[in-house]
Order: sequence, then structure tokens, then C-alpha cells
Amino acid sequence: MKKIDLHIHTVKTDSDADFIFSLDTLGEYIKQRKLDCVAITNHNTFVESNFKEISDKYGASATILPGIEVDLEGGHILVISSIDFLPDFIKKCQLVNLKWNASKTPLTFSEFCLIFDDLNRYLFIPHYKKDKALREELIKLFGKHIFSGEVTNLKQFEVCKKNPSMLVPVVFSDCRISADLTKNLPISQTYIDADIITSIAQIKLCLGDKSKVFLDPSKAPGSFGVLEDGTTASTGLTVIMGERSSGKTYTLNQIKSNFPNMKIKYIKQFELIELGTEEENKEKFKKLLSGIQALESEEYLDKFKSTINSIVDINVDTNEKDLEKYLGSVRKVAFETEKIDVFSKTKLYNEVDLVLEMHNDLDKLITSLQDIISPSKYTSIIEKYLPKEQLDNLLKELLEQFRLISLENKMKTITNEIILSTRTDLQFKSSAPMIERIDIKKLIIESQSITWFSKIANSICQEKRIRDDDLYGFKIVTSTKKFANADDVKGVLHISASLKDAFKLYEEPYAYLCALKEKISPDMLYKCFVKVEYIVKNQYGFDVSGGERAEFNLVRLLNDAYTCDMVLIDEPESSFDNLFLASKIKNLIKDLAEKMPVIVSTHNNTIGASFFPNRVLYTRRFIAPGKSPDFQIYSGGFLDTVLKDNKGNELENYSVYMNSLEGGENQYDERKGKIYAAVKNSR
Amino acid sequence: MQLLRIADEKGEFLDEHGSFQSVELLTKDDLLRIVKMVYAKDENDFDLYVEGKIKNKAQDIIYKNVASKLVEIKTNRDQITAEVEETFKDAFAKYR
Repeated sequence: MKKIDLHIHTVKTDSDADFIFSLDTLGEYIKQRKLDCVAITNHNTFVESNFKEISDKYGASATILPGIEVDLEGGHILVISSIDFLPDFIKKCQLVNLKWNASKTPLTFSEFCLIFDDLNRYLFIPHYKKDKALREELIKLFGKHIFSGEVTNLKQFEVCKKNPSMLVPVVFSDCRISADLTKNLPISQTYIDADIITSIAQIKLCLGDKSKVFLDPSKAPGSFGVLEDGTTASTGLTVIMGERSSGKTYTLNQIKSNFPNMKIKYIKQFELIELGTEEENKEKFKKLLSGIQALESEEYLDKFKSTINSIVDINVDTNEKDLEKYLGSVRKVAFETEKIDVFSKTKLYNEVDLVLEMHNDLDKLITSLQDIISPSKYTSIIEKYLPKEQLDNLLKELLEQFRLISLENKMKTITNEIILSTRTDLQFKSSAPMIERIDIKKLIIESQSITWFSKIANSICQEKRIRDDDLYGFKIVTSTKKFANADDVKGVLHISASLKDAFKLYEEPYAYLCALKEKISPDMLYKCFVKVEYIVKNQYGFDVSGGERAEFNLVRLLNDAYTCDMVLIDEPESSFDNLFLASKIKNLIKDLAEKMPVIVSTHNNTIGASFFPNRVLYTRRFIAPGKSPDFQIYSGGFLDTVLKDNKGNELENYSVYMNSLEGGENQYDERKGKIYAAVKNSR
Repeated sequence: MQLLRIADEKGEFLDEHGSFQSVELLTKDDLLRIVKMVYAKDENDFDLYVEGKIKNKAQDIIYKNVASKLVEIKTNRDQITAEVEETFKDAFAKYR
């Protein structure tokens, strides 16, 4: 089994945050994490001296491969070369670098193929289930040359392994090797089932086979390393047990810092407990709801915001003045005939502009047709119904139509330029009045836009329920309410300017908008027409109590965690009762654990036992004679007889459960056999 | 084909019926037709503007403005074509 990290940054580029490469740290990383192979993959660049320095120093400890991370059509892809082709690879990387420095735009697929002409030579690993993922259709275009993809979420690793249509997953550190990294050397690497790695051919063989990639050297499915000592957790649900001060929180903190590139939701102990007075707590909850309300409001008013943006710069006064000037000049020309002279008698003197033809719809049609024609994974289906030849002919004809309209518009533009310059020169010589040039079309469009805005604003201002949600027993009502007065509007905007005069026009949307423009910045205008209310009630429809507020917070945090890569929860029982944990949180956590690793620390039997975790960790503090306290960690499956530490020491799992969750076997027997039985029989 | 000319100290244009008229009668539609013809063919020609050759001041102004722009069109014909096709230039290159 070999451990590889094929995504490492050693040169700061304009795509990286500031860091200074440390050769020593890289050595430490290779040594501490026992890496067998690393690839140097900097953004759109390959620095030969940097690679040589690394190879010379650490080439004997691990296989060092040359690589580059390329920006390709909006995604990222690692290109890794064999050391045998290094001189040629350097030239190709120089071409990538030249293109990147010239335009700062990603390569297109065809540019990429022109540079890396013989795709058989390289190992390609795109960002797959990760930020900056390469588009699926682009991966298809690579065909047999892409078989493996990088993922961040460890659950996704398992999903990819099980799903035949997905790429072979790999997890790499994607780290910047700086001196700071020594404190937290990454533990995101992949194990491959290979005896030796001397070339990329061996890696290619493994990365083309899902049965040869692992997160854990023991090859155990569904587990991955979370701590430096090799301790593994489940990609599903893991429970950390242990007495107080045995290192549970310390372990969670370590796990969090070991995955710096992951999006982790960490709910700390007592985080959700209300510590202030009832009034303070209510106020805090109100603030939380107003934050959610603001987000709901943004979503609801999103389209209205663009409507306002499209009319906010219309100046009705100027438009009216222009129209008045135009009509006045027509009247003047008609009445002041005595001023007509040789210049004003010419036809061009009062000529108006030629109107250009709009062709946005044709542009869109051509763009869509190009999308249909360009190669994609759906090409064979498309061609079954629409032969390529006919599509090409259609595109040709549409392009010709576009060319004709575009040419006509160009000729009209040139003609309008001649009319303008001639009119100006003639007017300079003449004393006769001239008809004002105005854009009548623009005036009509803007007038219509204002009418439409008023209709939309009147509709938005109606009071209505937007949504009724049920979030694990909490009833959430999202609705719109009209503003009652100017202070009500100010409350939403958080501003001090007086809106009293403007608010008098609240029922006349456009007049109200114009009055608001004088007082507040344009990007706030859309918030002034209606407010969005977000109300949380308990399952019986009443206001939530103090305990329910904390419960709602936890439910909401867990519900929001679906977008994360991992969830860590420290002793949730500190803030909640068992009934709530068993009835509501259990299902939510189990469901989350279907999608990402969830690690919960506890000494509560509801969580520790009733949640049926996939894996348990047991932390224990010990003090060796003459030494400072240290923590020991035992791990195993939920129903395993024994838990083991990394040195092979064993603990009986049953004792661990009894001591951690039940306060010892005697206490458990007493509760179950005497107290609960007595209470039950006393009925 | 001669589209604009200076004859007997007058500035004239060729109307749509093939007769020469004073540029004082030139409309925007006449102008558009002339602009298109100059762009379309090199053989479509015109007398260059020469200061002092047209006596009527209004004709002089009109002739000067029109002729100078027509010279620009002749000189920049390729650039105009490129501007027209700019939006879909790759597609034009492929399907021409």
C-alpha cells in the first residue's frame, strides 16, 4: 500500500493567497505523513529550479513527480508527467504560463489539446466533487484519458467508489507548503494498492481501478484517517466517548485543524445554551430571526431588485423636457418661415436619424444553435433527430441573416453620422430654427417601463403568505407585510435619514421611488416597498420558549450543514434533553451522516448508544510517571467486542459503554433493576 | 458608377432614377443608398471634395461632409466588414 499526495503547491502564483515556500516543511510533511509519492502542481506554472531543489533533496525519500494545475474552461485540472518527459513537459508548461499571463483567462479545451498534444503521456486528475470542478461534458471530451477525479468530501469518496458511472475518487491535501504548515500537517491523502511507485504508469493503473484506492491503509470501507496517529473515523456517524476532561473536545479540535481545506460545521459545547436574562435571550433570538428574515427577503425581492435597477436611472423630468423641446422646435420651424435661408432649405437640415434594427433574438438563436452543434455528451442523441448537415445549413443561413442585419445597421450608423455632422455645419451658418433631434423610441420604452414597474410594485406590496415550512416540529411562516410608517421602513434599512415625506407617497410606487432616490442609496430602494416576516412557532402554534429557542438553533444549524463536507458536534447533551435528542436530532444526524462524516462527542447514552454510530472512539487521559498528562484513543466498530489503540492495546467495549454512558455497570444495574423496575411495578 | 459629382460649380448626387440632382435635395434615404453602394463596389465612385469649387455655401457644406465620409468607407472597407461579423467571427470563419 502506498500513500500519495498529487496536489501540492510550492510556488506562490496570482491564484494563491500569500505564502512563502519552505523546503524543510515539505521534508517534514513527507516524513511525518510517510508519503511515498508527491506531485508538485502549482497554478498554471512549473518552475524548474523549484522542482529540482525538491527532487535533489527528497527524491530518495519519496517519488517526486512534476505537474501543473491548469485553469481549464472555468475548472481546474492536474496534469502530471513522468520524470522521463521532463524537458518536453517544461516547454508545455511554459506555453500554459504564457497564455495565462497574457490573458488571465482559462485555457479552452482546444488550446489545452494543442499544448498537451499526446494525452497518453500524462496523468490527468480534474477537480471533480470539489470547488472549481471541471464540467462533466468536458470530462467526457477527454474520454479514456480521465478516469480519476479529486473530491473533498470523504463521504463523496465512498459514493464515487460505489457508483460505477462516477470517476475513481482521490483525496489530496491541495496545500501550500509554508513554514506555518508544520503546526498542522495535512492528513488528506490517498492510499493506493501498489507495491512500488517509480513512474506514473503504476499510479495510472491504480487510479483506473476503484478497488485499488483507499482512505485508510487497513482498506476498511467507509473509514478515513482523522488524527496524526492514524486513528480513523467513519465516513458516516462516529461517536467519541470518554469521561470529563478525557480529551473529547481536544480530539474534535484536532480533527477540525487537520482538514483546513474542508467546509466543516463545528457546533461547540454550550454554544446554543442561553446564558443571559429572558429578555436578553429573546432579543438575541429576535436578532437571529431578523438575519434569516433578511436572507428570505433578499431571495423574495431578487427579481424586483432588477426591475428597480432597470428604471432607477430614468429621468422623467429630462424626458418631458426633451419632448417639450422637440414639439417647440417643430412649432418654431412651422411659424418662423421668414428665417428660412439657403442652409435651412436643404433636406438634410431637418432630417432625423435612421432607426437601427434590433437583433437580440437572432443572436440568442445563433448562440443556442452553436451550443447544440458543438460536441457534447448529448451529440449522438441530437444527431439522431437533427442531422448535423441540416443543423450546419441552418446555422449558415442564420449567420447570413445576422450579417445582413448587422451590415444594414452599420450602413445606417454611418449615414446617421453624416446627417449629424452636416446638420451641425448647416445650423452653424443658418439663423433658421431647426427641429430638435430626440430619441422618441427611447422615450416610449422608458415610459412603458415605468408603467410596468408600478404594476409590479403594486402586486409586490400585497400582504400574502410566501411559504409554510415544517422544520423538525417547528412551524415557520414566511409572509409579506406592508410597511406601517416611515420608521418601519427605516427599521429594515437601518438608516437615520428621515423618510416621512417620501412615505406619504407609499401608495404611488413611482412617485415613492423618486422621493426615496433623494434620501437613500439606489441599492437599498427595493427593500422599501414590502417587508418579509419570518416567524417561528412551536409544534402547537405557540411562541417558542427558551429551551425551544436553543432547539430551533440546533435544528437550523444542522439543516444548514447539508452544504458542508463534515460536521463536528461537541456534547450536544449539555444543551438539550434526551427526548429532544432522540425524537428530533437523531434522525437529522443520521440523515446528515448518509451524506458526510458526522462526529459527535458525548457521554450521553441516547447519543452514544441509541444513535447506532458506525464507529466509536474512546478517549482516555493518562499520566505516565514523571510526565505531563497525555490522551489515549481507542477505536472500533459500534458492536465490536474490543476497542484498540494505535499500539494494539485493547479495551472491552462493553466496559467503555458502561463507564462512559451509564456511570458504571453497578449504577446501570441499580437504575434498571431496582429503581426503574420499582417505579414501573408501583403502578 | 459616378455617385457624386461637382459640375458647373454645383454639388450633385445620382438619384434612384439615375438623374443627377443638387445635394440640397439629398435625403437620408438617398444618403443610405449611396453609402451602401460605395461600400459594395470599388467601381462606385465620386468626385473628391475640393475647397472653392462649389459656389453655393449650403451645397459646399453638404458635399464636403458626404464626400469625406465616403472616402473613409472606401479606405476602411475591410475594417467595416470585420466589425459587422465581430460577434460571431469564429462561426463566420468556419462556415464561410
